[in-house]
Amino acid sequence: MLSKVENAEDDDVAADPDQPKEKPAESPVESALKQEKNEPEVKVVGPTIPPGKVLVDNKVMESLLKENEARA
Amino acid sequence: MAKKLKEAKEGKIKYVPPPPVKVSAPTITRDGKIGIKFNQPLQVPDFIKKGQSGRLLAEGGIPLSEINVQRDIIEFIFIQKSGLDDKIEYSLDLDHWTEEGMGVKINFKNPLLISKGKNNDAMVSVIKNKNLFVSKESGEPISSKHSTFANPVPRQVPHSTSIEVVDE
Repeated sequence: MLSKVENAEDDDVAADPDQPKEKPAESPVESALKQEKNEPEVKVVGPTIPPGKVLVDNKVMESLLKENEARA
Repeated sequence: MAKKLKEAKEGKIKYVPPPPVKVSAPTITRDGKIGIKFNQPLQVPDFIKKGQSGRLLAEGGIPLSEINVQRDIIEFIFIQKSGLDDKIEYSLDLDHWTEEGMGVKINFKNPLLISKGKNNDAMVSVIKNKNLFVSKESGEPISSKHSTFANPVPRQVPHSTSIEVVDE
């Protein structure tokens, strides 16, 4: 019985060179973007900035980010 | 941190470095709240800390409402899989940022259009500035490997509807 088990394990380990290699796992992003057959087109939509919304200036932000990096 | 390292050098304790910084895949609620949790306490950027305590730009703080989440913190990309011609529009607001996690609110112009089709729409999020996600203990930033996520977006409730009422 023991030898059968050992053989079974050997069978599992031995790779068939003719077998196609296993596909790498799909990333969550790839999966989100994936379009299934017969399914409508996938659209990518970015956010908008509501009119009148005050946001910090890019240059001010860059300087704050640099300060933050220096502190870290 | 410094105390621990000192004690480790003196052989008083064995210092075990914290694991690599990871953030949980964001959760998205039916009223558009994105929740992100950190696997360990992270440093809250100084300008955020000051902004949250009401200090102005002149004092080195930025109110959360003035942070451009998309440009400076995390890029969010909505993937419309419903296949309908409805035009989805949304904006983002940073809601909170603590050592344990952060929250972002998605303001959909018309929440009823979300995940309306056969398939749920999805949101891809990519951390833009890894130096804003730094371990409090080790000072190590999050790695690129742990900086991108994709989540299904559940159907949304209309504006000013309590999700507790809808889910009951």
